Amino acid sequence: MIAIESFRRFRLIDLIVIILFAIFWLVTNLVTSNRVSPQTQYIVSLFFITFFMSCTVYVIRKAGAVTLFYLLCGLFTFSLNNLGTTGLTKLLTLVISGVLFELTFIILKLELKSIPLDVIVGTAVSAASIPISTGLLLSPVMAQTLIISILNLALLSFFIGIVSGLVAFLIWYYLRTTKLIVSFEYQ
Amino acid sequence: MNNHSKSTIVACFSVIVASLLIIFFLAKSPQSLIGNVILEDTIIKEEFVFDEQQVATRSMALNSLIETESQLIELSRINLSGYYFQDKRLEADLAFIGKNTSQLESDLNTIESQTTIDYLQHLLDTAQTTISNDHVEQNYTEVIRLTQLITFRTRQALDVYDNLDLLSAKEQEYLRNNIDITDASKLLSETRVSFDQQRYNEAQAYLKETSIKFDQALAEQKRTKGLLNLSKSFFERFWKEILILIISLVIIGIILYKRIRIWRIKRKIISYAKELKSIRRLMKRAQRDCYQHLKISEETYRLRMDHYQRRRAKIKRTIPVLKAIIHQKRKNGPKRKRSQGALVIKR
Repeated sequence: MIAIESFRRFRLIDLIVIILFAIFWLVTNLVTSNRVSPQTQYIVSLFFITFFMSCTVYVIRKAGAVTLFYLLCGLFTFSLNNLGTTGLTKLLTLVISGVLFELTFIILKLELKSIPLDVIVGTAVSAASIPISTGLLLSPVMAQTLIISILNLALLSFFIGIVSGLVAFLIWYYLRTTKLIVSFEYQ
Repeated sequence: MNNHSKSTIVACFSVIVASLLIIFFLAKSPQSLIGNVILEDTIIKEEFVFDEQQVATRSMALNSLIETESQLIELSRINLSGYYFQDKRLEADLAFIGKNTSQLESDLNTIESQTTIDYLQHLLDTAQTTISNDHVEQNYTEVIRLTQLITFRTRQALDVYDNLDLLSAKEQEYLRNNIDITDASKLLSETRVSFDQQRYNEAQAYLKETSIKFDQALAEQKRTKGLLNLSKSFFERFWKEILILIISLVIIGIILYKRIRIWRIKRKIISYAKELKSIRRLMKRAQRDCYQHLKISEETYRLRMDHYQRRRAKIKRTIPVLKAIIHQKRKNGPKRKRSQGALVIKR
């Protein structure tokens, strides 16, 4: 069932929060870049981007927030090679990933023991899509040749997405009743 | 914390732990997970390892010195015999000679091989021309270590020398083909500097990095060309489908735009109707506040009423326009069959 309640207009404060989360991700990337191996950096970058993305969903809960967040992340880290690619390819990859999340989030409405499965599954699916769309955008022929590596990466990304989604949920579970969050939601 | 919260947290942690185990397993798999996708950084390593002999005899040390001599002659032919090799060779010679030249003189009397005699003569000359402070204790192990080091560096220098030539040729070829090799060219010049200054480890590392950059530049050019060809052939092959898709999208877009416009207008009418009700309520309240409760002055009352009336007039003007737009749209749309009652008046 489609979540119609997600289609709401953005407030200025929502946009500020999205920009802040994108800046947080940029900072984590700047801190880790050139300090760890490319594989570790990919894992760390993916974990943090999906973590902040989940946070954006929990805080804002509006359709389009994630795509906007990914778009800003792509723009802020345009020249950083943290997810295996740079430039326009990276931007497109992130936007595709964002759209995939939005679709999963809007269509899938599942909750188990208060755990929002729609957000967690959406996060995992969008994370898993990153290596696949990167490979396809860079070179479809190369993606076919390196299909095993790309599938392995997609699998790894899927589980990173699950972990970051759950970590974000646990943090949100404790923060959602705080004064700051309540006043933000009902402002 | 209630039972529900506890079970939620336990479930979350269980999934996190399971996922982390899978991530650990995937990331540590023997086949590099992303090694084929992301190029690994070249690390500068000190690769020389001394192969120490159990017994280092005088003849072994002398033979290794003579072998080194031939290697250095080879290097000097291609102008590579620099200060580094000369220094190391002198160190090795001095370690062989020791503080006393009597052994050298006795060797000269016993050995018959002309090459060995020539080398011993060279050692004798070295011993005589070197100041006494530079003389060290005789150490054949050190001699063998230094000669091995010279051999290792010679191979390294020759390897870099050969590859430098190859990469220079590659650079020219890529430049002719208009491939962007800015990064690779910078690294290549760094390699040349390191090589000229006899930093062979560094030169070798730069060389590896340069080679990777050249490959990357070529791959990038091939990818761009491939994409260009792919996009060309894609449009050529599927132009009919693309045309149909664009037309369909335009038609759907127009229909959607109209629907959304009507939907927005309807919502606007509903919100205006609500606003009208609110204005009516506010007007009543202002009247009560002014004349019944005496809470506000007449001046304030007039100002408020004026504001309310202006807003109400604007809404009342706008609603018929919006209704007319919807009506117009419906008129243009498919006509519905009017429902008729039981009695029909015939004219």
